[in-house]
Amino acid sequence: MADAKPILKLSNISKSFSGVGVLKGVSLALSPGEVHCLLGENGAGKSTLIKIISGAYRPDSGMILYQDKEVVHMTPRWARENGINTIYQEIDLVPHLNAAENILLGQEPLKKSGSIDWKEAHRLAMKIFDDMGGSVDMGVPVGMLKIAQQQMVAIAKALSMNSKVLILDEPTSVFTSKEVDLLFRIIKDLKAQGMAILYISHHLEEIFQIGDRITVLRDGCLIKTGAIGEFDKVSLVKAMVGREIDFTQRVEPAAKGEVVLSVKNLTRDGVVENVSFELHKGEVLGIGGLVGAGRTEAVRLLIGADPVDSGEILVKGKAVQIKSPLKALKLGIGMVPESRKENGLVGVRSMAENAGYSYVEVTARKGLVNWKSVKEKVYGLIKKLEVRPQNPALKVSNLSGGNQQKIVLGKWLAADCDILILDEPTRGVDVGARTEIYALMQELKDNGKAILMVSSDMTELLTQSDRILVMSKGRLVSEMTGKDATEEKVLSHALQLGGGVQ
Amino acid sequence: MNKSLNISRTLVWLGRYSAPVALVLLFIFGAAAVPNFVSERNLTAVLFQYSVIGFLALGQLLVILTGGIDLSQGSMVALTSIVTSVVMSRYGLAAGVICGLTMTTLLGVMNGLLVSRTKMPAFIVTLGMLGIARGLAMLIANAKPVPIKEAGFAVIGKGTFLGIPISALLLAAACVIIHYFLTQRRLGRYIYAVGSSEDCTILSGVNVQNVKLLVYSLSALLTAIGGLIWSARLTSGSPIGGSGYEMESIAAVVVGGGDLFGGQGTVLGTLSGVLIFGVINSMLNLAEISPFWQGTLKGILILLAVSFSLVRRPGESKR
Repeated sequence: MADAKPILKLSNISKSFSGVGVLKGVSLALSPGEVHCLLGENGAGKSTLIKIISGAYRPDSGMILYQDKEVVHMTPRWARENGINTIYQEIDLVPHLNAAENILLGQEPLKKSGSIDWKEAHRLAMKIFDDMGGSVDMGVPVGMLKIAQQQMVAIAKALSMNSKVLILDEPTSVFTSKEVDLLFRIIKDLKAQGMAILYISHHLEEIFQIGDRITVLRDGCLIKTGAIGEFDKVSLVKAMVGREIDFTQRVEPAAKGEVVLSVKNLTRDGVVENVSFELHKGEVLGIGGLVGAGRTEAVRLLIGADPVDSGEILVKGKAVQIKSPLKALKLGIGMVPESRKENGLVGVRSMAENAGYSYVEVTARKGLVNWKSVKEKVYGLIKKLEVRPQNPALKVSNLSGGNQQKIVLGKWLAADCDILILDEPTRGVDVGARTEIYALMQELKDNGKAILMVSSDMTELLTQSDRILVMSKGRLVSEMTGKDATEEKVLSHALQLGGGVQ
Repeated sequence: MNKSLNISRTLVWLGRYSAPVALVLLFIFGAAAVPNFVSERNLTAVLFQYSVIGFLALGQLLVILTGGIDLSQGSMVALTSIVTSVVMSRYGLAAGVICGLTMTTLLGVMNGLLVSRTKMPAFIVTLGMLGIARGLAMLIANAKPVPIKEAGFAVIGKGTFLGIPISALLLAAACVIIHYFLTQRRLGRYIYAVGSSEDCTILSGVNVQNVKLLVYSLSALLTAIGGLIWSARLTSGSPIGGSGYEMESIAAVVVGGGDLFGGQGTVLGTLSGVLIFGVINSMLNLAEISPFWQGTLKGILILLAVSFSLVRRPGESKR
């Protein structure tokens, strides 16, 4: 089946963002009637590649051939109009319109009078769903449907546009097994009808169940591409790992101090299941796992950003209820969130103000802010953190990523937290600032702070953690010391291969 | 799963019909508890008074559906009345009406161009236009009212047909047309789509800029019609009239189930919102309750309606 002539051919695609190469000369061929699986660790370049195929990014170099013609100026609209449809995890549908309207948006059938022919519209939408073998409630806005059903609508919409290439980005991450079965049946039907499908998933089981070909990416490079029969689980993991890690940066494991944070059976239904661990004074506890494994969701529970459904949190041996980030702060728990722009900083305000926000909460007595004390503290910090340029009045949005991250860290240093949660502390940060942030973490550790670090950067996870926890599908699946950890170990646990690969 | 389905359907139904149901209940309460409420005189008075706001609310609905807002409506009522009365006094009825409608609609086109072609937020663009329209009205009229002497013109403001105010009949016709447009025409559906998810609408191949241009232009046109009725009722043009009317029209849309973030709202709901305010107003008047209570009640009603609409917004349903 995979012998058919490719409908889409990428050759030598490269793309970099602010000087960092994300894709390096990647080639990929998609043929009608095949399910081509794209695999790779977090940050291997999968998303960037998809965005190039769907026209969202323009490659720096390389060629895209679609139906034997070179596509020079690819845009999302061009891609859609020419039959390339992508179904992202965050689904783009119009939430207020119903399923039929979404499927036919922009191509509604009309009566002679020019009015929309709603009967025909419903008939068309129903027919697509019947062909797919699924059904959704057409009477409500799609925003009210379950995510899995929304995904069905998105697929139906792609089908209505006469798609020839369908890209599915982690479609099953929120599905129940029954929904996965339905999706796979749909995929098999589409395949039989000659659709070319690019399937991105972390679930190796699924890949062996549905895939015809596999392409593995690592650090933006094409590692291996071949028919499904050429791989087994072990060889797949072997192909995915193998990143060069500079272990000279590896931290010396700290002597275990007292337990400052203890978590027992922490659960948020459907997202985080039964997570238990202990965090010691003076250590960095890393949490590894694949994107969507529930790591961020788990640490958000610790600062009261989301409600806990069941489980216990003990801070310094005392059971606590953390209902808000402010409560967490008063207990000495601070968090540097994953996305600085969205959660961490107020971009249009000055460095001084941002660094001071949390401190303000702590020092405000009787509701009055002691600005003098805030200022002194902040100036000291900016100097200490070597934020450049050293002008506290500068707006945060004008700083580089690394310096912004230092400000976020500074915000929590100012607030004197004993427990610091860092979610992806160096994402989008240049190498120089990265080293400084690591040094800062080391210093915090030496001062007896406890750090919980979520990281998708394997190098960072392996070199900066004293201990490593691995999460998969909302559960804690493994714990290891930083010394014993290897990339392969972490990854096979994250992929839930039961540690079979050593 | 069936349970969640029923809840969704119930929420959709509530979003669409809670305002009309509330109106009917209010009406029944008024009929039972307030003397003289159900009398021809009182009911026609409500219709006379609120058909102007009705036209503004229809325009505001179109704008709010796209996630925008039109603050310039009140001043546009004044501008329409002034342009119409001044031109009418020199060139006759038809010329006055045409000039009044055209002038105001052109300002609406300006609103639409600025909102759709620049990155200026609708709030600022229409706030600016609020000042411009009011200023122009003052300049043209030299800050004085302009009497209207054409007897025929007063019909749309004061006349009745089979006992029903002609202005209310005009409003009913406009409601039917806008309802048809919003539910049966492609462009109408795109208005909802733009307010619900602009990015996705663009990707579906819809010209979003033109949809926005259209709603601000239509809002001005409907406001201009409201302005004509308003001046016909007064038989004069006034440069200070209509101030604060935009707030009433926004309130009516919101109480009628419209969502200020866009994508949600109906003609039936909006019309109910207008009449809810009209009925409450009239009941308080008849019961001789201080007019200051009216403002307070209106405020409470708006807050209730908005907090309720947050519950039923789609797209925030749990996974």
